[in-house]
Parts: sequence; C-alpha cells; structure tokens
Amino acid sequence: MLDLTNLESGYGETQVLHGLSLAARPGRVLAILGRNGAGKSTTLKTVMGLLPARAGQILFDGAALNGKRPFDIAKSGIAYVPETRDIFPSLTVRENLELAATRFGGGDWTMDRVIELFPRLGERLENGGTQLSGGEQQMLAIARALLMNPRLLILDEPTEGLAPIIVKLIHDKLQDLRRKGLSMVLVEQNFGFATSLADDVVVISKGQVVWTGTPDEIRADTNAQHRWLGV
Amino acid sequence: MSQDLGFWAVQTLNALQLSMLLFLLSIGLTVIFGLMHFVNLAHGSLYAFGAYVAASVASVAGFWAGFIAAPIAVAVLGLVLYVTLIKRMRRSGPMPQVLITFGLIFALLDLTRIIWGDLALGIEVPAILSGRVSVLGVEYPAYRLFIIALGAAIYAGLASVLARTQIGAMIRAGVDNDAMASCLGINVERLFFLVFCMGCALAGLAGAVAAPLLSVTPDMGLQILIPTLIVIVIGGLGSLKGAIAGSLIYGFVQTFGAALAPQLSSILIYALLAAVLVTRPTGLFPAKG
Repeated sequence: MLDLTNLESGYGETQVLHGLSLAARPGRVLAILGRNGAGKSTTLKTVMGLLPARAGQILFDGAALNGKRPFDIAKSGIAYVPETRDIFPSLTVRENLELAATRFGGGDWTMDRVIELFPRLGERLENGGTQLSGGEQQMLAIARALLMNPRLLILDEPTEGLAPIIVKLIHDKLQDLRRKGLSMVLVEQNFGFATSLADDVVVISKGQVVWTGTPDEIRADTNAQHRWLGV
Repeated sequence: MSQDLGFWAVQTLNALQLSMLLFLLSIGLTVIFGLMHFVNLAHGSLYAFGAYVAASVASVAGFWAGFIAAPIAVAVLGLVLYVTLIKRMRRSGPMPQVLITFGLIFALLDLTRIIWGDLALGIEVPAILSGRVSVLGVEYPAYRLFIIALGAAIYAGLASVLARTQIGAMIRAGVDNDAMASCLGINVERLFFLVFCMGCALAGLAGAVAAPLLSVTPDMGLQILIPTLIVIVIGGLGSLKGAIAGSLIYGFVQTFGAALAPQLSSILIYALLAAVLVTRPTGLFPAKG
C-alpha cells in the first residue's frame, strides 16, 4: 500500500533520513518505533509532502508521491494526524470537521458517524478549536482525518501529552478502526500502546530501519528493545 | 476653535471616511500577509494604479465606468504580478520579498509616469453624489458619506463571507496553519492567488474612490503605504477585525489629532504605534494561527 524505498529527507542542511525503506500493507496497522530524533515524524512529514524527499521513492498504491504537494497527497487517500494536532484555532469544532467533510464526502465516514465515535465532540461543536482540552483536540484531529474517508490514516504520537484515561480512550477508538479494516501507520513513543495496536512493527534509528517484525517478536526481543528503544 | 456638536459630528464623519479608505487598502494587504506570510510593499502602488485607471476611464465614460474598471484593471495587474513575480517569491523569505516589492514600487511609479505623465489628474464626483446631505445635524458631502457606506458594506460583506461560507473557513484555516490546511486537501496556493487578486481589486477600488477627493499623482501610492502599514501593525496581521480596528484607530487619531492638537498630530499616530508594539507586539486583533 505505502512503500518507502531508500528515502532521504531532512530539515535545511540537516539530513535526518538516510536511505529509509519500509512498507505498510492494506488493512493492517504498522507501528514505527524509535527514540527521539530517530526520524519517525520526519518520515511521516516526508510522506505528506511537508518535507521534500531528497532521494528515494514514495509509492502509494503503486503511484509515486515524490514531488507532490500535500493537498494532492491528501486527495490520493492519505489522512494525517500530526503530533501537534494542528486544530485551526479560528474555526469552531464543527467548522474544523466540515472543512474535511465537504471535500471528501460520499464515503463511509460522515459527521454523524465521527460524533458517534467521539460523542464528546458532539457536545462541543460550537466551541472554538482552542477551547478544547488536549484529549478533545486529539479526538477532533482523528475525527477530522476520518472525515477525509482515507484509505490510509497516519498518526504521529497520538498519545503525546495526554492523561492515561484519554490514552486508553484513544487506544480503544483506534482499535475499533483497526477491526473495521482501516489501514494505519502509527508513530509512537509509548511502547505498550503501539504494540497492542500494531500488526507490524518497524524500529528506526538514525534515519534507517534497524528492526522489522511483529508486536510479539519485539516484545520478546529485549535486546532490541534495550538497544533501539531504551526500554 | 469651535467645539460645538457640529464640530464633533464633522470630525467624526471625516475620521470614518479616512478609516474606510484605509480599510479598503489594508484588508487585502493584511490577509495576503496572514495567509501566505507574503510582504507586498507594492500594495500602495496598486492603489495609485487604480486611481489612474479610474481617472482615465471616467474622463471618457463617466465616474461609474471608472469606478468599475479600476478594481478589474488592478486585479488583472495583480494577476500578471502574481504569475511573473509573486508566485516564485512565495518561499523566498521576507527580505527578498521586501526588496522585490520595494523595487516594484519604483517600477510602477515610473510606469504610471510614462503612461500618464507627471501632471495631477482629477475626477468629477458624479451628480448624484455631488451635493451635501444633512447628517448628525451638519451638512456633509454626499460623496464622503458614500465612501463611509461603501467601506462599511465591504466590511460587512467580507465578514459574512469569512464567517459563513466554506471559502471563508478555508481562508481562516489557511491563515491559521497553511501546512495543515493543505494536508486537508485545500489547494492553498490557489486560495492565495484568489485572495491576492481580491486584495488587488480592493486596492484598485480604494484608488477609484479616493481619486475625486485627492489629486491623482504618481506618488500617491507611496504616501498611503506608511498609513496602511501602521493600520495593519496596530490591528494585528491577518485578520479582518484587525484591519477594521486599525483603520478606525488611525482615522480617529489622525483626524481628531489634526483638529484638536495640530502641533502634535504628526507624532500622535507614531506614539500610538509604539505603545501598541510595546504592550501588544502582535497587534490588537492578530490572526490566531
């Protein structure tokens, strides 16, 4: 579904990805693990066209994404939930959702369905984006991405800065989406959260994939955990 | 100095008229900056170009033909500037943008001199707006009231579009966070192009409405640039509310300053600008993003 081959990317003169290759398969959840600065978020930003790929190839369902702008990549079927959530503060919750819904309507995900998934958002539709708690902002960011009716949902650190009870709620909702067959790529520092959701795991270090396997295999591989993740 | 009610009424209306003229100019500039962080110092030159087009067309086809032709012509000029210069300068950072658009000021200044010469042009106010109207107990020129009404109507129209339409939500989202807006499938570049052309058209309209009040001269764009920049710095970048608030503050401080304390009037607005920058460095109502 999403195939990255020998990808190189970075910020300004700092190169972060050094020939990274990985594949996300349809109907499965791929967790990308790694320490801070390993290149996890850079990988997602490069896939979304927010950072240019300096070398290598990005294929989504066989079509090259290299050089495409973020709005073209979004239209090809990839929805992105950034680490910072990026809720639009000038827009209400309803407007944040409608912005995605009106552009990608006609799919399974509708306003009613995302509010059914996150009832809390239904109570706050007329609130401004900045009036939400961190957990509510994360729900809104995920709901907004779902309204794009994506074929692939990519999430960057969805548990960052959230209280344990909200982490559990987000986990359960993502587990629901997984059961419904939504393909996902999940970047996460929370080892337990990521391995309980994922079907496949890759570990990144210094901009390259250094370990590939399943959640059971990474749980059993304490050497890899210690060496690459500091667990 | 007469300070009866009539004095206050006239000064208030004068202040409102100046504010609305500045609003027509500043709204385009501030939204262009807010949406794409693009510094267009040549915005005042577009206003001058609009005034010249209005004066030329009005001389052969009447005021209203010039009034309509000016925003269209300046939007077309904006389109040409966008395709040839602005688009490729979009990601070059503020300093190259300032230098290029500063250069454009002088290029457009000489272009107007080549086409229209150095002599000042004027436009006759149309007959329907040439009289005086009794308002707030004073006889006030109808044309100046027309400018106040036009500015208020454009403010109301823009506020309605921004608050209630899908394209308004897209513009607000783009001002807040253009990268995320793009990730939601919004073609931010096309949105910027539309906003840029609309901002140019409003600058042209401001030139057309100012032409009967002021002499149309090549340097009128330079003269209006500093007040417009002060308006958007006081109001806060990227917001409609900031543009109208900054315009009203400038209009009232400048008008009442000149009437009540003429010896201080030239520094009052700069003192206010400094006070705003010290207490609210991002302006009074900046965009939230």
